Amino acid sequence: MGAPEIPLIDTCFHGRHISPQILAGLTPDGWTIKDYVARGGYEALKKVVRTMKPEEVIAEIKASGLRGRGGAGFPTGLKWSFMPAKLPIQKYLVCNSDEGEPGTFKDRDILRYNPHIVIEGMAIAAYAMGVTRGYNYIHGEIWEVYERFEQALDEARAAGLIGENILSSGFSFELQAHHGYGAYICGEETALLESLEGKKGQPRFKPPFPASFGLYGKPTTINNTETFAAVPWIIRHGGQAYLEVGKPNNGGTKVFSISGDVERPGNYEIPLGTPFAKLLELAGGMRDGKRLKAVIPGGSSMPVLPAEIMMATDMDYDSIAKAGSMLGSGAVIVMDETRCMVRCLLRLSYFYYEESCGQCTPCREGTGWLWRMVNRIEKGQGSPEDLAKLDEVAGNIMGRTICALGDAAAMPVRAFLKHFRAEFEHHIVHKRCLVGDAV
Amino acid sequence: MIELEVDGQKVEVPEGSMVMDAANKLGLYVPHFCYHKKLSIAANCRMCLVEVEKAPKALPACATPVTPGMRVFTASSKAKTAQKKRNGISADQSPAGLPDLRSGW
Repeated sequence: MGAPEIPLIDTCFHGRHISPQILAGLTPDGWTIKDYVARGGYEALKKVVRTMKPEEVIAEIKASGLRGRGGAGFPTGLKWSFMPAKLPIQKYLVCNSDEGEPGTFKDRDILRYNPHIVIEGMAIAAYAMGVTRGYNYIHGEIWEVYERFEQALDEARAAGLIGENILSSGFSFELQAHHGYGAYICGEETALLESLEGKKGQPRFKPPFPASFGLYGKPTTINNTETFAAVPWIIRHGGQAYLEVGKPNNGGTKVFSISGDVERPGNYEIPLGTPFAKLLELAGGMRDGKRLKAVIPGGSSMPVLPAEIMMATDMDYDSIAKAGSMLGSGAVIVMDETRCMVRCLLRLSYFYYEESCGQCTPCREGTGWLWRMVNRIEKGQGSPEDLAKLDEVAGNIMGRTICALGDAAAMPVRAFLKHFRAEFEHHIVHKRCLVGDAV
Repeated sequence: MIELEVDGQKVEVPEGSMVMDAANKLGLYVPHFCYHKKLSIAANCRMCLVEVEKAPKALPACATPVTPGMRVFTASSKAKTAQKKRNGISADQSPAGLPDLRSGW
């Protein structure tokens, strides 16, 4: 796999985490079942199948305050309790590892260096909801992770930790890996289900929600990789202990993928509620001592925040929401003073234009319009009315589409215009870049 | 049968009907493009968006199942804006001008 001469990039085993749970004690080849058990792995699964009732597991997760790590931050315990546990029909559990958001690379590292924690978390979830079939949908652009996960599954199967009659408890759970082909839209839960069924990945109209009409029309629960990875720790140490790690209503730790203009980009696991300044310090501070200009705190679809707001914010769901953005998937994109905000927005708009599935009109047409207008402004061909038009088109996409991709394309546009309007105006009036002039 | 209210008029439709059916039964016109009674429902032109009480967003009339006591407004300002402005301006007035697909990339 690749050239061995390239030095290993310090993605997650660097010891600069704060009280890590998922990424604790990892080494580049410490991913096998032997290493995982040595780190205390599969203890939680044993405890669950031998001593706990399904309702107790859900109650424990509810007590932990664990919120979905994929972006929306929906309480996981509540989601699990929506599943008709007693209904004697086939139900499915799906892990969403289709990590396509620009800036996000946490699931990749979790699955590559600690795949068994996800397997254990999924087995526990399956036990809690009475599910016997699970799938892990892995993004198509990280093929080696898919292969690694298959190997981990073989190990777990050989050890009797998934499959028929797990640990002689009478509980059976079969888990399979599935890979996509890299479409961003397949990270949307209903598009993921369509893709898993072998259809083209286009989101379904909701309601009905997957908890009642999911994979193959059966009740289905979909959670993010990191959410499942958080479960074993909660079972081992209790929900209350997990809640105490973070802030109220924002329990536990979160893996933040820091990219952009920092000295040491990579994955950092820190308790929710840690100040952003501390996180930036862990990542080595700004590259070459440049000044911080803007941060997208939760992946490219979340609103951008200027430096001064960001430096005063804590990294948790509620604080970032108060600051005017969203925690999303925890992809922190850091931009320094040399970055032209118009160019940044152009890149983002192009991504959504490229990735819109084309199913519904506002998004299919609107994302193209947004990109073309930003492109025009960036090239110095914009007119003064363009800014109002951009804002209007973005506003008209929001909330009118089947899935959230329309919102995701519109939100950055509105936020960039709100916080960095002067740069856009400079591009229109002077037909060149404000940043290029200043530096 | 389920009773609901569309634009202030009471109407009864069979269970499983969509808001569009209820509006049609009353003779109300909801603008639509991809909806046709003989085709499967796609709900992707987003032209039939209507306001439903207690729903935060405008919902597509063709794909929203009726519920008892539902109150629908097909011509309120929220619904009208959603129907007209669903993509900014209509397609022949694209704010980005004529498509210059991926030029410069």
